[in-house]
This record gives sequence, C-alpha cells and structure tokens, in this order.
Amino acid sequence: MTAPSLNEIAKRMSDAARGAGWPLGLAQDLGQAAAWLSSQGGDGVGVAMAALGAKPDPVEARQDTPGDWQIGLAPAGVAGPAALDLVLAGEGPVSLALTDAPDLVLALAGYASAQTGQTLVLSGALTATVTSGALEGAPHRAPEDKILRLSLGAPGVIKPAVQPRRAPDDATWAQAGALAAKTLVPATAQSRAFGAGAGAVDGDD
Amino acid sequence: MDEFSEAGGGLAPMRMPAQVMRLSRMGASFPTRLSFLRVLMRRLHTDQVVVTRRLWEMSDEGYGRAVYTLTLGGHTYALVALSHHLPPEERTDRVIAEKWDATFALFDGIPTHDDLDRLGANVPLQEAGRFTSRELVLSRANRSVRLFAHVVDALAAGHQPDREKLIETGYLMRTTAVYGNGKFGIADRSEIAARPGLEIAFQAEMLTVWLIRAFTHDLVEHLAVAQAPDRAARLSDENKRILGIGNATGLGMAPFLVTHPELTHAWVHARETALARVRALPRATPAQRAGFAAALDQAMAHADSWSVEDQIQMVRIQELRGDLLGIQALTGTGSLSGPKPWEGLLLAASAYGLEAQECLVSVVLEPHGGLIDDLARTMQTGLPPRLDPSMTLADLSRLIREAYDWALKIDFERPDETHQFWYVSEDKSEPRLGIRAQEPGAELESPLDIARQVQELWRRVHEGQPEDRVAAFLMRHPEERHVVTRVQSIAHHPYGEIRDNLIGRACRPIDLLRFKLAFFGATRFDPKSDRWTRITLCQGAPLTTDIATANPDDWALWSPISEAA
Repeated sequence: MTAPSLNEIAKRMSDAARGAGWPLGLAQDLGQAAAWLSSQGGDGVGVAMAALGAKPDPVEARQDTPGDWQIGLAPAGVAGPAALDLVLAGEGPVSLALTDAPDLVLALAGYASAQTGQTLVLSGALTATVTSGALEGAPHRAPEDKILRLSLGAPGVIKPAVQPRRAPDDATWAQAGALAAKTLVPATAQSRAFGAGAGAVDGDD
Repeated sequence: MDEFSEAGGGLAPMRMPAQVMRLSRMGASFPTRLSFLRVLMRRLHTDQVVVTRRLWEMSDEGYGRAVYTLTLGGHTYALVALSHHLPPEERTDRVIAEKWDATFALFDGIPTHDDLDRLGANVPLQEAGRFTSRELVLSRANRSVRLFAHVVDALAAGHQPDREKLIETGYLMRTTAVYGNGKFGIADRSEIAARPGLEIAFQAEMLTVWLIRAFTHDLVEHLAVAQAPDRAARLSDENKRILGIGNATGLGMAPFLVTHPELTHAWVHARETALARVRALPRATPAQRAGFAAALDQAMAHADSWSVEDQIQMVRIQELRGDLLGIQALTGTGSLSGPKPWEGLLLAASAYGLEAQECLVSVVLEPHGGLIDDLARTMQTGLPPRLDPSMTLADLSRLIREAYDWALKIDFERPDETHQFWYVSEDKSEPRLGIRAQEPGAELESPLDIARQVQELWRRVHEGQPEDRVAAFLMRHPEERHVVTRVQSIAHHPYGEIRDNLIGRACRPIDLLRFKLAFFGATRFDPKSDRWTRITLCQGAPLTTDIATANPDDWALWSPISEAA
C-alpha cells in the first residue's frame, strides 16, 4: 500500500480505539500519538494497535513520598495520559509500571510536547527526550527495566525533522480498519434515502 | 472586562458568542471580504499569477485530460483535470456516487508523464484511489446537464448562449466533494500550511475550485469547436464571469465545525474583529460612504436575482429584499455623515431580519479593506490546545457555568431534545442524521451532542471535591477527557461552540452548512432539504486570464443585474 497521511493515521487509530470501546478522549489522544510517532519515523500504527489490546479502566496514582508519583500496573494507553497530566500540572515526575510496551507513552509525550511546547523526558524502560514536539536522537529501550519514568525537562526549541512517510504493516493497518469500522452504522434503505437528506433527486439538472 | 464586552484602541464592543453562534443566525450567513475565495483572489492578483494550460488532450466527445499550472508564493501547482463519459443514470451528486463527469487533483509541482498516468488510474476512483503527498486536493464534479448542453450548442452555432439561462443556473459543473488535509493519502495540511499563499485555511481547496471553473469554460469551447470547427464561437469573458462553479453539499460538512472548535473560533473572531473595527470608526469618509452604497446596491441586486424553490428560504429572501430597501432608506437620510456612522447603522438595522443583519455585516465590511484585510492571516490555527490538568474542579465548574449556561438549561428528559442522532454510515463513511425513535444505530452515535456531554460533565464535576485537580478527576473519569478538553478550550475560543442542541428536533443542519459555506465565499444558497444545499462559488470572480489585471474585489455578492447596470 502507499503510505497513509498523518491525518489518516490519526483518524483511523482514533476510530479503532473507539471501535475497541475506548472513551473518546483517550481514543483521540491515541490517534494523535500514533500520527506523531509516525511523523518521527516510528511505527505509530503498530504501537497504537498493540495498546488497544488493553482495557481502558480508570487508573490510580499514589505518592509514597511527596512529589514522587507512581502509576501502575496499568496499560500505557490509560497510564500515559494520566502521567502526562500529572507532569504537565507540575506535580513532579511519575514512575509507571506498565502492562504493555512503553512506546505509546513516548508517542503520547511527543504529541503533548508538540501541543504545549514543553520538554518531556522519559527514562528507565525507554530513554528519550522530546522538545517542542521534536524527538532528540533515537529512543533507547531497556526491556530489563520494568519502570518508565516521565518528567519535565529544560525548555527548548527544536525544529522537528520531517521524516518521509512510512507505510504501516498491511495486516496491522487492516486490523485497525476493521476496528474503526465498528463505529460505522450499517446502511439501510431508509438511511440511504433520508439520512443524508438528498433523497433520490439530487442530480437531475 | 474582556474583549467581548469592551476593548479600546480602535475596537468597538464585539458581538457576543451567545448572539453570533446560534444556528438561526449562522444559517443567515453571507460571504464577506474575509471569505476564503476573496482572500485567494486578492493573493493571486497581488502575486500577478499567470495560469497556463500546459496540456489539453481531449477527444471530440470531451473526454481526456488537461493540466493547468501556476506559480504562487514561489511554489508551482498544477490542476490535473480528467473528463469522463458518464451515463446519465449514474450521475448523482451524493457522496456515495462512484463515477463523475470529471475528476481533479491539485498537484504539487508539474506532473511528469508517470505522474499523469498514476493520477489517471487513481483520481477517477476518488475515495477508492490511493494518493501521495504530491497531491494536495482531490475533487470531482458533474455537469449541469441542461446548461452544459445549451452552452455547447449555442457556441457551436456560432453565437453566445442565452444569458438568462446562464444566470438561472450559474455554473457548468458542480463539485460534489473537495477533499484536502490528508484524505486518501494526499498531503497533510501541515505539509503546506507554511507556504506563502496557502497559510490561510482552505486556500488550496479554493484554488482548485477556481481552476476547475476555467476547465469547464475550456471544455464547452472545445466541444463546440469539435462540433463545428468552422463556425464555433468562443465563450465571451462576460459570460465566463457569470459561470462559476456549483457545489452540492450535504451533511459531511457539518461535523467539521463541531470537531474543529478552535478553527471555527478563528474564522468568526476574525470577522467579528473586523466588524468591531469598522463600528469603532468615528466618521465615514466620502470614499467609504460611496463604497458602502455601491456594495449595498450590489447586495440588493444579488437578493433580487436570488430565487430558490425551498419555501422557507424563499420567504427569507423576500424578507431580505424588503429589509435591504429599509436599510437603504436609513442611509439615505445622511446618517452616515454623522459620528460613529457604522455603529449607528448596525444598531438601527437590528430591527430587521437575520438575513438582512448578516448581509449588512458583509456590506459594511466591504469598503474597509485597508482596515480589516490583515485579519485574514488569523483565520488558521495550529495544533489544538492540550487540556490544563492543573485546573481545579471549582474553576472547571465556573467555566461550564459561564460558557455553557445555555447547555445546562436544556431538559434532555424531553424526547424532542434527543430527537435526532448523528452517525457515520458504512456507505463511504457518509455522515448522516437519524431519528432516534425510528432508526437503528443510535448506540453508535457520533459525539456531536455537546450540550448533553457538558451536562454529564457538570454532574460528574459536582460529585468531586472543588479543590480536586483535573488530572486526578480524569484518572477516575477517563470518559470525560474529551469534554474537559473542549470546555477548557472554549474558554479561550468562545466563538468555537455552536450554542444550540445539535440533536434536538429543532436543529436544522442546513444552518451549519450555510455558515461554513459562507466562510468559503459561497453565494446563491439553494437548499434542497434541511440537510443539503446547492451553492455557487466563484460567480463573478476574476478569470484565470485576467486575474493579474482585474480588480480582485469587485465581485462581492455579485449579481448579473448589477453587472448589467
């Protein structure tokens, strides 16, 4: 297949998340995160699809010591936004114990960084820094480290590098499409005739 | 005081969102000099753009391909036009159509033969094709069969077509979709948003439409010459100006306004700031008064020539005609020579109908280009803002109370308030509207029920502690994340929310369509139901052959009557 646009990736992955039963806000975050990761040359579609295997149940954050938040065990699709909320609220660094891969947290942080202009630093299970939406260097993964730490970094401005489009894996893209299709209402004669308001007489002159 | 109640430095009080963002008023919108087509014409003129027909490979039956190129802001663009045979029984303007009389792509650069072959295989398929970031816009159009045939026959007979027939229809083809921003693999908006000439929303789409119009003019001339090579006439420039591009627009356009609140705010804020600047003027110069009078004459002629079958709209047009006469009488008393003339006029005109009030906004802005045209640059946005997780629930509650008081008053226990539901059909992902009590699919309802969502958030927020922060609240209630984001954003983008219940029985989607189309620069709204409309774009606009020399602003609310005068 030809590579999809970023807008297509965001839309399909958001719809796929909704089709999988995720709440709209988390689904939208996931879609934008997938597009952001793709814009950086990553496999945004694959990362987002992998995350959709989890249930988006509410999460809890706890502080054993003031200013040191912990979330988890929890899936990245739910824990990631919650951790970003805490960090961007100035509540301090957050340690996440994830039930799945940390890459989605990087993707969520990338998009959040682009939106806010903040620098977000990941360390532990995945090491990366995102400044104003631009990834600084290649992420480093440490699978033996079960904790992912997220914190604010020093502000800065980096012009995001434009990466060429990358086609996702055909099967994964199709799976996302199938999930997204669960948000569509089956066509009926009535909806075809009246749902869009055009009736049958729309092209006669 | 905020800017909506008072502002100094050359800005009168702006109209409040609660006044402007109501469906009834949105459904009376008129294009202004800040509409996207108007902005594009000024830019093309300033850049002295030259359009070249670089390729014309067309059979005697009018089937084949053409390429038009131009350079804008240092970038070259090409309209690739493909003309096809379409059996009459397959001609439909619905999104669910699969064949069209003509299909188009706006290409980034000059296409090679390989590009043309690739586009030739994919562009006719539209949604079913696959595209690359070299394609910026994708579109298709159907002929206005009766007028198209008449024009070809007349030209082939060596004379100009019947002017009345041209005026009656107003276009040779109507587009049924104009896709941008990454659809089906074409370039994302972010890839071109910084380019000179394309910074403002929908400029690439409007450029495409304007070039399609030129193609339709060329196509009828080609067919006439093919029929009668020794006798065929060329379509006069005067008649080409009459012929814009039609458009059939359905519900697909409506959800965009709800899902892009920051962009909607930017458009309306620009227009309302323009109006506030004009209202603040202490005096009107003779040139401004003359410009206003000319624009009002043009608007009156436009209203006189605007006639539709839809009874609701026709009643409004008739009221508009009378109201504009009243407004003209108001200004004939020398009132524009007094202090704060525009403020006084707009105040006096508030007694008239909404069509007249909004038409007057357009007319009042017209002679003030030097004062307001810079605002076009603000009619775009970047990424939507992220939610503020540090906000307390007390502050969130206050935002809801201030910005959504209208939503909190709706009684959703009443069946009328949930009468309709929006959904996306599996038919080409077409947005549709259903009757909740009669049709299946409500469980897959699209989230356009903003007022209802805000009520639910309001309840949840008041279950929490006032000092709790949004970050903690959303951990407990991830299902409220999108609506919290929206409420917080609307606090900074108050023109971004439509202050009506979009699932209530009283909601007429046609109002949303007209509002958006007016920002595009559309005229001659011709509702065919409460869910779809035909409109005309580019009617009266400069041609590709005279854009460098013509006045790019002399076609506001263009009408054939004022043209003849």
